[in-house]
Amino acid sequence: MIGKEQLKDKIRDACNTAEEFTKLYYESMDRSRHQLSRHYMDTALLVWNGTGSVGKDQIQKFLEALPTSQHTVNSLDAQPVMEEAVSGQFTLLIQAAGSVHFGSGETKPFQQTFLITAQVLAQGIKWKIVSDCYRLQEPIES
Amino acid sequence: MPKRGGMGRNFNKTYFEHDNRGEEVRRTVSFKSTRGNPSGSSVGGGVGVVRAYTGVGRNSLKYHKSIRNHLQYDTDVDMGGSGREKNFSNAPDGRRRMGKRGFGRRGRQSSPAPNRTFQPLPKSNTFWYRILIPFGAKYEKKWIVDSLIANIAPATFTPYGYEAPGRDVIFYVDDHQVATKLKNLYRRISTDDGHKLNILVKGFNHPIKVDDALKEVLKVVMARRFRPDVRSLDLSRFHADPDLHERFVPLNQESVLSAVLSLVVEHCPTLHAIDLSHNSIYSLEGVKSLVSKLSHLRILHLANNQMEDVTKLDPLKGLAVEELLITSNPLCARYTEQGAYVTDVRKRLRKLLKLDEVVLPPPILFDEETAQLPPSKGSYMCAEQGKDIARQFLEQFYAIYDSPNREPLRDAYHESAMLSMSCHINSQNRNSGPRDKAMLNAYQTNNRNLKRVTDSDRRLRYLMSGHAEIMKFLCSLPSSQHDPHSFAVDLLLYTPQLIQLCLCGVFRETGASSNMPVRAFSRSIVIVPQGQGFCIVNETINITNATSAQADAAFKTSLAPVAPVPAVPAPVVPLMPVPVSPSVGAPGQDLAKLQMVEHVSNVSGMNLFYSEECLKQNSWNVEHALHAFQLLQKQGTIPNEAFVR
Repeated sequence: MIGKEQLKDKIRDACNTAEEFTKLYYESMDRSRHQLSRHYMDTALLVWNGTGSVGKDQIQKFLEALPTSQHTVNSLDAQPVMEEAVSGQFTLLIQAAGSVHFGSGETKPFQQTFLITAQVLAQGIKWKIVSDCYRLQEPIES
Repeated sequence: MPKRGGMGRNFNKTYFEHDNRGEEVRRTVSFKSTRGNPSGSSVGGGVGVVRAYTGVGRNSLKYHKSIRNHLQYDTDVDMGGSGREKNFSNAPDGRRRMGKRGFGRRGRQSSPAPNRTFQPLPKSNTFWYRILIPFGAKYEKKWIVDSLIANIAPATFTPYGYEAPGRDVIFYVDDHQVATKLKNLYRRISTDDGHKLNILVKGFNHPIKVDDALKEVLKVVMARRFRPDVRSLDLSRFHADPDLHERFVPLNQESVLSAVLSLVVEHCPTLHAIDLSHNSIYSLEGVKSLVSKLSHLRILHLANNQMEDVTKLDPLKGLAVEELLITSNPLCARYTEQGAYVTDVRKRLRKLLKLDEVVLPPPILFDEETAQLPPSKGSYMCAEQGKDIARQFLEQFYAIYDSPNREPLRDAYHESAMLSMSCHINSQNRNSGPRDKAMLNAYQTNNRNLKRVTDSDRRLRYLMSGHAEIMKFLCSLPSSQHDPHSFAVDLLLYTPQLIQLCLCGVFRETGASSNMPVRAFSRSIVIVPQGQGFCIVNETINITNATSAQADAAFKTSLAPVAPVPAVPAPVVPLMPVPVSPSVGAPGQDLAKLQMVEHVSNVSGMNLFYSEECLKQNSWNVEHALHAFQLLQKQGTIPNEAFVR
């Protein structure tokens, strides 16, 4: 177990990271999508409106096939994931929501959840997406 | 003739200067010139000519002069002719007639007719008019209709939605001229019992309610008007359909058009052609989002409607319509040059090949984006074996969450779990309906939306941590009813160590009224195994207003959406009594062991529980464990449930 002050720091960190991360992510998504996969872990999972893509390359392919997008984030929340659940690896749960329009389509609300983790790489420690769940707010056809 | 014209002009000049009501007349006329129906199907006289002039040029002063001349001319003829008092068709304003005769103000004041007879009937914004005949219910419909028609001949009408609620008779007509004529019949038709029929006419301006019963009727009518072989739907003169004209179902009203198009989107999203002619449609703005879904629409007929100007076609932008028929709409009369007309229409419908039956030169388009959004799917499971666990977990969770007492949920959370909630209003949904407008006040107190909560201390405070804080918070939220049919559950991570899932759907608050607003929510949950079950370590909840499509679809699938949980039976511990690798649940589990379990499970086909047991008995040696497995399998001593995942 970590100390109370330490946890507070982690929570502050989580909030700041979430703000920076979402800013970067949506800018990249909307303007330079070809570089988006760098934010994903090699084994990451993207579930986009119920369609799953596994692995960095498949995710990149999937995202690039989407029409151009324009996201506006209206809501954001973030928490550090409990250490014990992730073997002490600093991991964040981030939930964003807002509105988006794809191509010439109408503007729709969306919600997106990221699980990002601090991955130790040769270039240093980087935030990478473990899982990404994207949902347009619409009735679900089952 | 010139003399008459001259007289009239002089007269009008003085008239307008001295009488406010005259001003009103002038305004009315200019209003007509933009609202008029150039098709002039059944119009004659002043109004028709006003319409004819609208397209001639752009000098509005000239119009007014011409119109004025014309009206005077008509009226003069009327005056000088037989003086048929019955025929008011060319003089919507009785006062003017009198004025023209030179009676002056005094003459008007002494007029025996009640004042309101001579008020001009303003054009209705909806192009529909409601006719009310007080105490009309005691007369036969046939007699009333026949008498009215006889008195306005040669004009005629169909009394749409004729009904006699109580003592009165109400019906609707869609022609301003007819409505004016009917209005002028006020107390002019004698009944058998010695009364005179009161006829009150006004523009119809009420929202039409489309209930489920009406939707069923619409479905039948539309099915009859649908041609599956060419995927075309004929909705022309929809209100006059034999199955509908007894009711009042004006397709130009947003609620009706929206219901009709929703049915199209639902039952025939690949519609190829639609005919909306002769429906007095004046706006498509309210059905924009439905229209945009008709991506297979190629032929669109909108002739004989009330589309005012070309911007009324804006909601069609983005459609791949190739043939458009839009003749006899006010917008056509605004153009003198065919080229300008085509350009303006094509700005909206860039793939248009044929406009009003005229083949256009092929459009030159940019090589634009052709990417399409992949269709949305329901729940996604990253691991099949996680499906049941997710389902059971959520079933139990919401059974308690939607019950009067959320306290038992305590056991669903880890003792140092974190939970936070954010909410925001989606502005584009805001005006979609009163239900969606409802603010999210009840959720603002602990709204941790980092976009708005920038203060570091508040960010800490709004993050609930531990049983006490979480339970206090959950119990403070309004009581709710979730619609399980609206749920999409995405299972993102499923390891023996950690499960992550996202759930979205709709719920409504329960309590005060039966018509509570529908909310959309999204919950992201991180779950770890604990003891014999599972518990939540992290949870974020996002709450927002539902889209109108979500609100419409909510709580429809089942009449009893959630089996109400009567006083939750005592301990729901463990929340999930599923025998999945119990000892794996220990926090801080060695990752290497988990990988071994998975490996053995993959190779042997046994589930995680048995794989782990097998490893344990072989001192966590994978080779030994697999060897033991092969031996036991040869002997046939491994129980079947070892392979049930």
